[in-house]
Amino acid sequence: MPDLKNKITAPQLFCLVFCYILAGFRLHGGASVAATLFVCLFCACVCVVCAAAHESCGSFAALCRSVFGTYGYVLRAPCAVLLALPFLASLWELAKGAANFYENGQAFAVLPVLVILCVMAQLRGFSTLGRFAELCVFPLAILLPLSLLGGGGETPSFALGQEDLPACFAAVGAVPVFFSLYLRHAKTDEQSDFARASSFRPAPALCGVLAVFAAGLVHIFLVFTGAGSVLSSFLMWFPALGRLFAFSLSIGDVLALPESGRAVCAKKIAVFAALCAAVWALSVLFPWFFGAALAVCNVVFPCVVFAAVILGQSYGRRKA
Amino acid sequence: MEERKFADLKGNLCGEFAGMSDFLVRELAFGGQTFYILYIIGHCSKDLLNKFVLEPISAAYLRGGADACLGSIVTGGGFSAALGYDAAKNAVLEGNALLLFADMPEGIFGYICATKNDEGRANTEPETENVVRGPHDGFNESAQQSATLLRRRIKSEKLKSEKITLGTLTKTDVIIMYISDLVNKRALALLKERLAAIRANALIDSGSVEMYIQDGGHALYPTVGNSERPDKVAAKILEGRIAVIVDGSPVVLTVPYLFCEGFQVSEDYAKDTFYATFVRLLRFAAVLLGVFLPGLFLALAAHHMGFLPQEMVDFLAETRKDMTVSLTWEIITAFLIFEILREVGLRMPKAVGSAVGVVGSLILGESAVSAGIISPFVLIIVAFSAVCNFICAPYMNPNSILRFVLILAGGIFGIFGFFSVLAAALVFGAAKSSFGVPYFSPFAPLSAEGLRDFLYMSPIWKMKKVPPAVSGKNAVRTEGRA
Repeated sequence: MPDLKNKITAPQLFCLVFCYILAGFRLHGGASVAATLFVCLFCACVCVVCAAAHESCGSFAALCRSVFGTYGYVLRAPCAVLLALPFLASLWELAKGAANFYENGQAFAVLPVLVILCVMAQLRGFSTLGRFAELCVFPLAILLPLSLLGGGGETPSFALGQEDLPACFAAVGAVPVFFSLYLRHAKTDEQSDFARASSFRPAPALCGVLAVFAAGLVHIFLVFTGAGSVLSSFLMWFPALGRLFAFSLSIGDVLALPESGRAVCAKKIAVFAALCAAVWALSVLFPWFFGAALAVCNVVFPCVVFAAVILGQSYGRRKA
Repeated sequence: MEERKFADLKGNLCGEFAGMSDFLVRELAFGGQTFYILYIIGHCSKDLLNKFVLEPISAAYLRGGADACLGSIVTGGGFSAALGYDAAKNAVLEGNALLLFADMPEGIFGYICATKNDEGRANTEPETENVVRGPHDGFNESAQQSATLLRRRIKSEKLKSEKITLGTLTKTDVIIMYISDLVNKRALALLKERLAAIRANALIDSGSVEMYIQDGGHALYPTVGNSERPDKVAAKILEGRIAVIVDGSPVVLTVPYLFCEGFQVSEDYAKDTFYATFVRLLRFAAVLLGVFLPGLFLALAAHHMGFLPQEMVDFLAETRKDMTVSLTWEIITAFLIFEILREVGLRMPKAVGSAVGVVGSLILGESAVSAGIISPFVLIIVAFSAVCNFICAPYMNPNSILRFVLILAGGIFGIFGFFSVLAAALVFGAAKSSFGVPYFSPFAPLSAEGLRDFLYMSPIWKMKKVPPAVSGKNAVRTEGRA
């Protein structure tokens, strides 16, 4: 029986991408309908192109190895740095949002709890992260009719201006690129007996694309209907945590945690934590750095990474 | 067998059973042969012994047919040779009679006559699982009878049963039953592995076995199901689960056990789909309210008053104006009182238990409000939440614990504390599995087939496949309606 701890199914992939993008839109405050749809289209294209282009590899580490051989970590190291940025941004936004509910609430008090939850989930494997994302659909199912009753909402904006697009791109970030690996690999035949026997077998790539657009549409719906009550915010924290877990999954994938032993895992996590601390310190010392780095990370990075990988693969094929 | 060896065998057995006043060695002489019958009074059925062992042997000697094989003389259902000393000893301990005589063939340590006294409680309907519509029989303490009840319902050679003995002192019979074509092979292997790993001197009840075989050493929510109803257990076996029958306990265990099973009641399958779905949704909503309402209310009222409607804030302030304790302590006190009353009501004799219920709910509640210990508003929330918790019996106890943790988290840290505990619980739940099957399936991981029998209940003829999450197979259950 293969170890299923680090496998995710196609529906789990759908839920992870859905939570990730929806929470991203909510946290980073993109309210323009046009910008949201544009970014969704961009994200779906990235997913499909990447999933279709790269060769069959089970993880990011395997993908890097297939292109760069033993020097695969050269690509993985900058990826880890660039993943740390949006992860910290989302972590901070969620912590800030939670702290806002308290008089004199401090985001710093909330941060450790979120980090502990992420580490806890990561230690239980990718399957746990995927299943949690599936559970996040339930709070959303409560939230949607609740938002209709709440009243309020914003006047729809169709602007595609300088402020709208970056906010929406911040919601997407680089994670879908990593997920595109799973778009190919979240296949039912690699799953448990249960998943194999299950009648619900959507195509993984389709799951990713549908999730992106579903998240966009739900976000637009929530913008129109308004979901500002404490209960709505509470329910939105679940997909927000799902977003952090999606980061955890991608970080775990980049650091090749499933392939490592416990001791190596601990070392890698410690190094990543140090990296996050360094990024944090840099952003406090040089606020402009954080903004600029995020912009690079969210738009340029997803394209560059896979361009490098695809070119590397085609070069390798030609050489062979 | 030599005369000396036979004397040694009889002497050893009598020596081992020395000091047992209920152990009896009966000496009978037929023709020139002396027979010894060893058994435990009461544990061995005197009637069966006389009717199927003693009378036939006696009759055979009287009519001169004693030269025939002993097996054809003794007419009882179970007659076999004990091929070892321990087998002979254990047979007596299990309630059988052991027949010894000097001319036994070499290598045979006596003949075991299956005369176990199986008289027990009638198969009456279990008090804990009443149904209005459905069969009214229940398991009793005899494992063999319980297995028979299941076999009466599933008349197929594919229903396999395996018997093992556990407990060095109690030597408890444990029977596992499953359908060979449907069973989840991985779950079966895990179950056998866990049962074989049990090293205990005593297993009195199926609850003890459950503690040994459940997933995780300290599981809050059950990963092993149980029932006293044969129809329910038979239905579970037909879905690919495995039944574990423990001798001495009327409660039969079933594995794997998933979270969704707590919301399923056997009567649901005899109702129309609309009502069954309505009742399931009601159960689910009640469980959610029972667990989350007090903690959520406390978190909002204690830390985020501004987010509550003004009318509620005013009413709360009005009802709490003479209160001396904080809202957190008020809710905790109310729940502690309720839990004490519940425990007392359960442990007391039935007649007194109902009186305690009346005293607790009416007099104590009324007095607590008058004395300013608990406000009426809080009392309503606590009472409603407590009543909601009873709707789903398998999760009554774990939900009480989770509710307390949520109350503490919400009371101390507010809404984010409440959320953190809930998220942590969901992460643990998502990682949890029962005998290799994800605990939260069919909704995490998602299974369309499994969802037909969770909150929404499709008509039974539409549930075409055996739940794949449980059996791991794509087995057809019904072809649907004509």
